Amino acid sequence: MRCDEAKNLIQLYMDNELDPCNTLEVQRHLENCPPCSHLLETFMLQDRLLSEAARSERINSDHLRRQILDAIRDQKPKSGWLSGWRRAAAIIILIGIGSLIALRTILPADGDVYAAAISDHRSCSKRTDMTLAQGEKLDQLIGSLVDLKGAPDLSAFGYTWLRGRSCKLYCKVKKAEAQFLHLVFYGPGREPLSVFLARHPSKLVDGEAKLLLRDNSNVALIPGPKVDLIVVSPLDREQTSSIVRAITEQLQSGQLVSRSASPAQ
Amino acid sequence: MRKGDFELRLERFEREALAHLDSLLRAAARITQRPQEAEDIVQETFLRAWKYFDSFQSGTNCRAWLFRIMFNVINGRRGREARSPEAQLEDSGEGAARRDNIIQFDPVRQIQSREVIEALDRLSEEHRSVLWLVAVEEFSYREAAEALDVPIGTVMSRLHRARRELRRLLAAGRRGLMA
Repeated sequence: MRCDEAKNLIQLYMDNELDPCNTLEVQRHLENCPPCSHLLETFMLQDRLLSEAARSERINSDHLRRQILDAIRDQKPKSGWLSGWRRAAAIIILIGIGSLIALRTILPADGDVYAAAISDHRSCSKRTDMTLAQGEKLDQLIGSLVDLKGAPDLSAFGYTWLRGRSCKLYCKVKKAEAQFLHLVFYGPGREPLSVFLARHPSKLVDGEAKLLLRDNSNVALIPGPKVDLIVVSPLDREQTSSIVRAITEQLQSGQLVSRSASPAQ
Repeated sequence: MRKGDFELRLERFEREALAHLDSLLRAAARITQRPQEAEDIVQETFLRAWKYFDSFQSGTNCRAWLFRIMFNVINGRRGREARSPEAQLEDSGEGAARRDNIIQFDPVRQIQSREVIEALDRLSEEHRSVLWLVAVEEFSYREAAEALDVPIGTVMSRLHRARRELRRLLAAGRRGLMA
């Protein structure tokens, strides 16, 4: 193989894109030709320097990552999502008013309502940062949104601190936006757990809590006096059941605890 | 689409596609020589990738697919400015002076790597792109062809010329002839 031929193939050889036959020819040529060999080394060195230089540039892409994820979540099919929540709000309000309509037939058999709660739970439970309220601010939020003294106390289940946010959803029955309070409970070595609360005007508790499995999450609907709750739990059915009982008791006996005293973060 | 599917899809997207965020960001800044636009370009790339994510097969080459989308985004923006490829040859060298917040050149690096990056900046964008894909991202010729949406032969000839040009620039630099 001559030098001009070898030079043409050197880059293909270097990039392992050359067929086996020509590879051998080039190799043989390089063994006996210092200039071509040198050329190969130059190209290899260039590439290596380029690669190293490129990788040595420091990149901070965290905020961009979050921005992208937020933009994607904003694109979530809103009409479908809202109608799911409309239904949830409607059902919660109906439950609260102690409607004459047979509630058991209205309770969603399709996954929409719970899927919406699960989805909100999954996105919020990852955000352990300033966007969620805690401590005194959380107490204020709880008071203003659902008129309760505090939040359920799940420390017996290893959930030692919590944060919250409000979400506003359009309620078809009220023909207005309804407020929901979304509480996220955290505990060491535990997956977060969510409780969504919606206020309603009635002191009546209609029906019993219902526990379902949706999308690999245990979800419970807890009717309460003046407020109804949806729980999205990462725990198994039995543990979720215990939590639901505890919350129900606390609601009914008014034992809700202010969180201002809980440890920050 | 059931809402539960959304989260699963997003998780898969984060795992398979967003893993390449840094690679794309670096490439965008360096290849276009517009570090300020790099974030926009990359964000648009991922939003488009998300839109078409269902058509992307899990386990196949996500990175090449993402780069393909990114080059489309870049060309789309370029189209609005109607620049000819030849004009870029004169233009290169400006971008080298710009340093952005997100990408910081480590001052501790040896002189050699600064030289080679500056030489890279002086190549035409076409040459810079193909060289970046093969030398930095270690794409095969076929992957590079897919990402750039050109025939493999074009990848080969551009790469060939790019490496030679780089060699020429570096040699000239060492002799102190670089402007």
